[in-house]
Amino acid sequence: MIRVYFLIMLLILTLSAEKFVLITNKDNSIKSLSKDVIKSIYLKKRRFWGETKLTVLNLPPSSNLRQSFEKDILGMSAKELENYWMRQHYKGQRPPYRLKSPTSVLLFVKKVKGAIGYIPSSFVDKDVRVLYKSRK
Amino acid sequence: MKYIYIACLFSFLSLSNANEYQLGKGVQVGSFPLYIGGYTSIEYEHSYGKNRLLTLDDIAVMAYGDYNNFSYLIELEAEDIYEEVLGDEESESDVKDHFHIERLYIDYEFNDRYMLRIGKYNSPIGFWNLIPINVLRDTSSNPIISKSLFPAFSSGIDLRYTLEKEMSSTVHFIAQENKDIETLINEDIYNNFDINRHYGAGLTLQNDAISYQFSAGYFRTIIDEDYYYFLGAFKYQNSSFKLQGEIGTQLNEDESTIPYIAYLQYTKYFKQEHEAIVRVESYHNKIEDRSDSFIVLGYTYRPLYPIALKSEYQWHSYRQENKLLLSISVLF
Repeated sequence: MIRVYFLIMLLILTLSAEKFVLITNKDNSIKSLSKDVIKSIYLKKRRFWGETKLTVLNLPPSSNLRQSFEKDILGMSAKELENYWMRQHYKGQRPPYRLKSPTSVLLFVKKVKGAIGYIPSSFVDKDVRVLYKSRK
Repeated sequence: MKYIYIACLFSFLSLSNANEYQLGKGVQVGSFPLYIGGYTSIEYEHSYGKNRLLTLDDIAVMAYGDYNNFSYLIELEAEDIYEEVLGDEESESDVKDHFHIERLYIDYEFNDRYMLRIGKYNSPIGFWNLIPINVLRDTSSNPIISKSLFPAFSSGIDLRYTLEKEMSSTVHFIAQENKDIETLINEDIYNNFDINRHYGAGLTLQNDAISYQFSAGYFRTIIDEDYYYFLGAFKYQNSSFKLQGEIGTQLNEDESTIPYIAYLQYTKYFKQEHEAIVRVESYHNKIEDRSDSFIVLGYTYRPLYPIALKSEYQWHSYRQENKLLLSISVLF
């Protein structure tokens, strides 16, 4: 019986993990991105794409989607990331812009050429370009 | 200068009441591209056979921001502000309230490869010199190599070229053909070498875990002494430990002034709050006619990452150099 409960719990957890897609503005010249490049963009080691300045967007720390994104792409715990951004503060760098919801991210990306953000895969429409799809 | 500092500090204190403020991350002024932060540290030193020394080591205020391709950073620091010799009733406390220009620069990023920095900046040489402040570095003390091999600060330009591939490669070209900005403005020296010329180049190769750095350069002091330096550095880091080392040599036109200088450091992370550090250093400095090899054992506790409580003990080949260092440092 315990084994059945365990399997059900595992199934629920797997189904509840949100899939995300990384999107950018249609006018941006980026076609697709590997995980390593996305990581370097989100850590602001890479701030431009060609001549275009990138505006990197994040969701609030409590967001499940952000947690999925950070686990899949950055491979850093929330604490490690906090520490990273404090070291960057000394270097004069700020963390990505934080927006309240995936809808705000989608609207922002549609308006700003260099914007990059992640949203649930179900939110995608034809006005944005998908750069990366999570598999989980 | 003092008034600028007081104004910045006042702005910081009044803005830090804002809801979004988090210790160690600075605060934005309104919706302007202006962020204010700072750091401070207090240090206690007990050297073998000498008096104990309590120092308000530094207080600094930083302001920075970016707009389109431009970004800027200003950092004003007062160092060794208050010193008191403990256990010696005849000694007088020493108070310095002069603020220096630690960093002052403007960056222009042309694209994803080229960036030009103009002003006074940390010389991009080795790894330690890039984040030298107490609260963010691994130990209260700095390795000797970061103080005696090359100028810690440069006042001029730094042209950076970056190529992002499987391993990110960054090349720096440093050029300084004038005195330090602090000397030009305040007629004061705020660098480990009083220089009026510095040319250098460096290559950094980096992936997630491993970094290598090679630098070479030439600098001239204001009394027309020329020095050349070469440095190699490596760093391996994962979530449980870090191994880091730097090795260098320095020469003038006649001889090798520092035939070798090096350190190797192992940092073990216990959870997020605790770090144990073992560092071995060795050098031979012909100008000072000194050779020394020593071990530094350190322990750091960070109740929060921007607050560091550090202790370390140094065992030198000269017994009189042995010392205990304790420090409290905070990043705002």
